[in-house]
Order: sequence, then C-alpha cells, then structure tokens
Amino acid sequence: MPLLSAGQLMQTAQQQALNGVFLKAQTPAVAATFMALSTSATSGVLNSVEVLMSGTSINEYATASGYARQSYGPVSATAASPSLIYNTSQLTWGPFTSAPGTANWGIACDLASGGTAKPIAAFLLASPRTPSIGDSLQAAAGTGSAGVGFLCQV
Amino acid sequence: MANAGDKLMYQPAHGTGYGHNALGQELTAEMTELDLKPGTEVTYMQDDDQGWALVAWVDGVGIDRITAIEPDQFASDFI
Repeated sequence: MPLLSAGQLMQTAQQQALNGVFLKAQTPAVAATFMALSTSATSGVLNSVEVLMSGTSINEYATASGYARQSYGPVSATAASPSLIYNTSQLTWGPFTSAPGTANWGIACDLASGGTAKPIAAFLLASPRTPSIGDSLQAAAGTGSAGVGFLCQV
Repeated sequence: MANAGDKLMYQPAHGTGYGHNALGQELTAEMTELDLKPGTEVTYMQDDDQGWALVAWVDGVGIDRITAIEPDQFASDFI
C-alpha cells in the first residue's frame, strides 16, 4: 500500500534493495544516513512512492525551528532472518527555538538537509511527540528488540 | 562566512543556552542538560535550504547533535 500506516522501505530503497540482491545493479556507495521527523498523520498521508524529501506527503519539521536531521548511524544488517538494522546511539533533535508541531514518523534519508535527499525508510513513532520551545526530543538507541529505537527488518 | 568543517564556539552575549534563550526562561533540569550551552564547540556543516546554519556538537550527555541556527544568531553568537 503506498499510503502508510506502518513503517516500511520507501520506493527508491525498495528498488535499490531488489536490484542489489538480484544482481541487477550495484547498490549505492557506503555513506552516512540521517533521521528526519515528519508531522504526517499516522495513516493515510505518508506515501511510500515519494522519492524526494521535498515530496508533498513527507511533511518534515521545518529547520526554522532549530530542527535538523540527525545522523542515523545504524549497525550493519544482522546475520539473522529476519535481518535487522537499527540505530546504535540515542538520537536527539533540537533544542527547538519555535514549536515544530507533532512528530508521528521518523524518516531515514541520505542527506543532512534539503529536499533533494532521498527517503529510505519510514518508521512510525510508538507515540506522537510534540516538543515545546527550548525542548530537545530524544529517541532511544536500538537494541534489536521490536519497539526500541528505529528498527527496520526484511 | 564559515566553511564546512570550521570550528566555532557558542559565545552569546546574553550568556544563556540556545534553548534557554529561545524560551526566555530557565529550562527544566533535563532540558538544560540537553541544551546547547555557552562555551560549547561546534563544527559548521553547511547552510540548509532556508539559510539556517547546520552545526554539529556534542551535548552534556555525550550525544552527537546537529542543530539549525538562525542566520543572524549564527553570525553574532558563534565565534
């Protein structure tokens, strides 16, 4: 389903993964990835066909609030089935200089800023977060357990 | 004009943290620990699409952070 109500890989990442594992194309070079926050509603808005962070359904927090994408810093995919990937450190956004709204999603992408970044995967937050002015917003480091940190599995 | 990789110090004339200054009053103890405090070294990364400066720094609990800084504030408070 293109309109998301649960986390999953976005279109570009789906293509890259399939082309890579079926030996149709080289996967992209090793590089840093970043975690954005999105105010898109928890269902029926965020669309997995988005190929740019400027996409109309992405609804990323505005940087004119102190917000910036944070380094995702994931482990290498685990040697297990299902294989997992998750952040190794706590992620903290802010401090916010204006109220940025309610975050419902984390969206991993391939650039620290800008609308030309490619969305990789969407992660539905366990509960919405609405930081106030002066606040910092924290997310736990992943452990490999469901519901802890930003965990993706195939 | 900063270049990517430049090291700067947050040294605002008002002498308070970035979040504290935005709120205009003291933060909670937990948020104070996570605030960008005077004397913190930052590394300029780049400007974002709206001209805000992205700086990397390490907070009071040792977590790597990236924060967007309003352009005028970046010019005056980061030396």
